[in-house]
Amino acid sequence: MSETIDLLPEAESDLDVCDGPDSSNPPYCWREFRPTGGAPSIIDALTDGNAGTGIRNADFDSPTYNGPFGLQGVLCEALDVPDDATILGVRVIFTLALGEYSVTPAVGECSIGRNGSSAAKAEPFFVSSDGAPTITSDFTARGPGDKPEGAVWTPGDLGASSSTRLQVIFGTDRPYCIITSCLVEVDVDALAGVDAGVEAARAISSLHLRQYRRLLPILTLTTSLRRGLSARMGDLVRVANEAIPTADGLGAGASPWARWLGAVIRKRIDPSAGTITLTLMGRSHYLVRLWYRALVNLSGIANLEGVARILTGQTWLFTRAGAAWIEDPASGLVIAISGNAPKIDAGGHLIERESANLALNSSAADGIGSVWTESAGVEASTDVVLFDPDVSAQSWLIPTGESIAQTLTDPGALSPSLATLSIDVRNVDGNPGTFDLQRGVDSKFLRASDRTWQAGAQSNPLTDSAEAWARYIVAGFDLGAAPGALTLAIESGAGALWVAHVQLELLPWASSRIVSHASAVTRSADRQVASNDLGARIWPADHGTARLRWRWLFTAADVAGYAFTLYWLDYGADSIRVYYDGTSGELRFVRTRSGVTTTALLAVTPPVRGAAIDAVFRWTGEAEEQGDQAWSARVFADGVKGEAAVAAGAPLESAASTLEICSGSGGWLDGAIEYALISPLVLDDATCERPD
Amino acid sequence: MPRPFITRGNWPLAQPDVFGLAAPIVLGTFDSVGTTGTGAVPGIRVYVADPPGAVRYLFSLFTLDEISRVYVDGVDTAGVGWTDLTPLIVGGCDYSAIEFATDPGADVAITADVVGPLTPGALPCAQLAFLLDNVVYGTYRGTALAAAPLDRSAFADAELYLAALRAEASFYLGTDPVVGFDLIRDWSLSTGVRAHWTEQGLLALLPDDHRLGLTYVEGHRVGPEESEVNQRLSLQYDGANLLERVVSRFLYQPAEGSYFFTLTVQETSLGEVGQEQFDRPFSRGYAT
Repeated sequence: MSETIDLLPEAESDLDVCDGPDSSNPPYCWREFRPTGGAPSIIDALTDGNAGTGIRNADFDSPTYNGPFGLQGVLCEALDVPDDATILGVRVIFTLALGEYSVTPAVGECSIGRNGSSAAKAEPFFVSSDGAPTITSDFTARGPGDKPEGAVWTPGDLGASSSTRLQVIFGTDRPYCIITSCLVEVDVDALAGVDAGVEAARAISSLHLRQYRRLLPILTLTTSLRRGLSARMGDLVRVANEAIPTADGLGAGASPWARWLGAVIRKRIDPSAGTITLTLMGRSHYLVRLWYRALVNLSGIANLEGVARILTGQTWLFTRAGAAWIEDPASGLVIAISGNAPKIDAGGHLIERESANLALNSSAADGIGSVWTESAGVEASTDVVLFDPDVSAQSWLIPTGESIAQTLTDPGALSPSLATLSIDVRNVDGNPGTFDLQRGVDSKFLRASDRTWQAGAQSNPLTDSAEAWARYIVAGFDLGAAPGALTLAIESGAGALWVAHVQLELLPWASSRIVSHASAVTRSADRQVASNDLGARIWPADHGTARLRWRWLFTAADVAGYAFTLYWLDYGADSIRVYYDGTSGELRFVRTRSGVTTTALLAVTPPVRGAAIDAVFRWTGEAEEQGDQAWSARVFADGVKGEAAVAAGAPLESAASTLEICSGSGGWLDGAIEYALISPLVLDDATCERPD
Repeated sequence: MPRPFITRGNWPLAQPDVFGLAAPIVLGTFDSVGTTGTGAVPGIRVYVADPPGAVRYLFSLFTLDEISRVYVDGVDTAGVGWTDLTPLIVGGCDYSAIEFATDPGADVAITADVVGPLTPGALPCAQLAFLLDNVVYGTYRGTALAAAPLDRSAFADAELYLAALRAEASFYLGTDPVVGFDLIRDWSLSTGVRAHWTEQGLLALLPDDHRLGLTYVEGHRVGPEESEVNQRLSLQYDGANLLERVVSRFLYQPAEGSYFFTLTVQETSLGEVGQEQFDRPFSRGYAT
């Protein structure tokens, strides 16, 4: 259930305590805001056209908005939203009047912070002419004022108490600028009704699956009453004994971290023998802070049907502005999903950066004749389709020797200028068609085999799809700095050819499909975050293991200069960044502590589009787990163990932080997550090299 | 588990077909708005005036907080034609019932959306404790006259755990007799929390908490003393219940006799190793 809470000014009488520019008054000139619906409101006073009322910049003697004086602000009503709610947006919407002494242009800042804290984030505004522009300062993506840049908003950030509620501060460099209306808009998506029931069912079912997805190790231990009586049902115990099987064959060790971990599930007392028999269930695989299985074969984006997910109670948020298109895991058809819906594709959970499809009417959604030029005999096929009919009801059926063509809009000056063309095709008789891409600047044609531009048509062969849909891709060719208008022609071969989708994008790999109509369409970037705040952290600070298994969308040779984020934690001065470096071909586990950066890295098998990689990142604490030095980190990938990188200590956590999963720090995974796990356990080498 | 039955002695004006049914119990909220829209909880025709006149329908033992909407053959009455008799005391027990001034007909289904006890926060552990206190160990009244032997601290801990999982519960105990043990089993299936007896003879709840931090406490160290007792320690592996898919059904609506939502979680990497399906009778009873 989504609702928008608008906060409007409090009582009109509040203006009385700040009735005009007064250099002695401004710091105390706060306005109380409260949820809309109450009466009376000073909104009428703010909009009465009287330049003497409203929220003013009173610092007319020193026209600067830096420092505490001259600032005018509002305190928002404390908002108590459910702990499990998701905050989808926080915006300040205000109208600025320049007032009788004001001149243009006016520049200033709208800042958001918390009552009682000087920490704030500011959004600049600029007014270029007289009038009363309405300005929106959107703090959604920037996060709360007292959290690192880009942090996710959580219910606690809205201030459940009066001492921590939101405050908004305005400042301009012009005297007598007046804020004549203002509201703080908070979009809250509280889990309710079915959504809440679904998430509870997912959590309980996922825990059950996690427990019974592998053989459960059971240890029966008979010990003396003196020792055993203190163990209660459910207690976690660590047992050391050389007879307990372990991966290294040495038995459960003497070091506390090396002891076998189990929970008491049965307890039998034998008074006559003076013994107590404990049945312990192994718990090592069960202790997870995050467990996410995104590779599913069921339909149901709305409920994430099939997705198993275990968390520790944090906010989990997907965001993306606008629609996207994915392969439905069950039907195989390409379907459309709405903004903010995770892209649970047949290949996993896609996390991608922004991309635009320069081809128009890319999928025949507007009919086969719109934008495209067809030769005789080209038909609309409604029974051989790639898309769900709600997206596009037809594909192009190109008979033998016929073609379709489109002249694309001139993309203008490009930097970088690498591009990828992808075409979904289907042929039935071993006779794939061909394509030609010509650029306007020099009338040359793309030769797909070596990605160069040549004089004369090339008739590049498309993929022989063997009677199924196949996505032909030529990735990472250089369009040139100013290619001019591009012309694309697709021609059938000796047999009929179906074409379902055409995509030309300015990336060196083919991203998920972007369905365009009469104009180019940009698919926005994905973002996936979870709160990692004090008390419920997902990422263990001192020691732990993180795993990610995903499918590449690109091929190694094409992505020099790109970074692909796996995990990102910004603690302010300190941070943790896990990513694939496209230039070096390495997985990098970077930890920054007090300005000192330590990087564990591992060169991996060069990515190939569609191939999967299993990477594990392991870090130790002062206990020197698994024989590694204290505060060391390693990268494992597909059974290969990297060298340890030793730091002076763990990055220092900030009280509030956000865990970004496969996005953040200027990068995206640009791949499909199959599996993610974060555990406080330092897994042994065998498990890291062959994760379960 | 002891529950009052609908008998001729207590309900002399009921029709014979309802005699022998156990009194239903509703806990939490049952609301059909957003799903069937035809009333979530069935009414039992327990009073037919003779000569024909008022007719009464029973919804629950104990006092419901609210009878929100009453439906006649699935059509909302908008509050017209019936009055709420709650609490209706019969045989020393509190019941929630309504009365129609005019008989809607013996073959007409009367249903309702209701708000039962223990709705605030919809706490699953509190609901189990309520049933154990008042029914299994109790005397069928709205207050606990005989406290069940429960480890209240363990119940409170389990409640916190379930709150972190966002688990809320409504529960409908139907008209068939139920063994107390089955009640606990259904509750455990619904919540994933196990019940066990403590050495003090109390019934406790044991959440299998995956969130535990990991500090390297000394724990149990098994020395020669234990080895002598047990000879040799080895791990046994329980492979009888391996799963790749768990299907749970929730949002139960007793009037429809069915669940309206099914969620599957799966791990496709395992292959066909097994599937488990369970119903969660302690789950949310409303969708809005």
